[in-house]
Amino acid sequence: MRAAIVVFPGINRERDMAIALERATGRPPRMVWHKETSLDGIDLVVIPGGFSFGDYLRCGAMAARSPIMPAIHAHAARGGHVLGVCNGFQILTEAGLLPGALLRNAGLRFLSMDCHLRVERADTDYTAQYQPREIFRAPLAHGDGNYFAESETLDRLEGEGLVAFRYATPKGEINAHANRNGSARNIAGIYSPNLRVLGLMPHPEDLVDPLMGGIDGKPLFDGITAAFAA
Amino acid sequence: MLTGRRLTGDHAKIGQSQQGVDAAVHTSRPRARIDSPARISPFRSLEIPAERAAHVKAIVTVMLKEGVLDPQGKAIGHALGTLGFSGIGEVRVGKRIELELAETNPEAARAAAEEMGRKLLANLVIESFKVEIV
Repeated sequence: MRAAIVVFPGINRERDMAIALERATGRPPRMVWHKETSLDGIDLVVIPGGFSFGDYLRCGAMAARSPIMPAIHAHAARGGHVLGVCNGFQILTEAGLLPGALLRNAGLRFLSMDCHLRVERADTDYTAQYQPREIFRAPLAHGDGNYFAESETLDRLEGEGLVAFRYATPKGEINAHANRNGSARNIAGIYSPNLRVLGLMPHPEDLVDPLMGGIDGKPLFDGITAAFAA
Repeated sequence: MLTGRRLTGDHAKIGQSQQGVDAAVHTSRPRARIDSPARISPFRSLEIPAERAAHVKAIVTVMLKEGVLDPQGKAIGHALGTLGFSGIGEVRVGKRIELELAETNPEAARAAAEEMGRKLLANLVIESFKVEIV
């Protein structure tokens, strides 16, 4: 699998993401500056976390209109894989590649803590190495992660199986306590209808080595890599 | 402050009136021409003499839609209550974006500002906006 990480000014998690991808694929991802316009030869486009353009106007608003974006739209339109984490998820919603929006956390605080996620389905290219309904730990670090969409959109996401992860307690309960940022229906991550564009707020790339404190996020990167090896 | 040069000027003139400082800056720094976009500086608004401004201003007000949680508004309402203000209902926070447009026709300016609103200034999933031309 050939992966690329798109780098915008103000992005700061691209190196963590590069480590996770290199561990999984055996080769360093291509780093693509936001002013480039081509993603030729790339299988997986990753938009990492950070504070692109200083979160000016809205989180991800400026990045979603930068020169690389037409290439990302084209990649997604031809069925390519796109992964957006944290600011990357915000950018994907701002770009219209995923529905809904990420609002200010309901409690107004920037959240920097671990959370637990429930894998809603384990049959996608990203989650095939998790068990169905598996609970895994992932660090959170965001001020605007409160997932919002119209109720019809939420119903459609749930009805079509497009919810990727939900905030859960370590025991797997889906409740308000686990939902620290106030997201609609505890949604932490969603898929596009073809299950190839994935956006999520927490950071699986930050738990891919025992030295990081765990390997809970490793199956996601191993899974997407294996999907291309098959 | 505009430039290192101006900073120096300010430091040299501490104690003088603000008017004196401004006059010194204007005589030592050529005024930017505004007829070419390439010459537009980030400080353009400070440099356009009022009599030359063939522009209209569009004011775009962006608000969260009804039904979208506005925790900032809630926090502000709470703080106002703490200060002793009573009778405050819902508080909503929005953004006001002022656009100077090189356009003399108000309707054309409005159409342009509305397109900007749809394409960038507001996220219509969560926000609505209105345009006022002044």
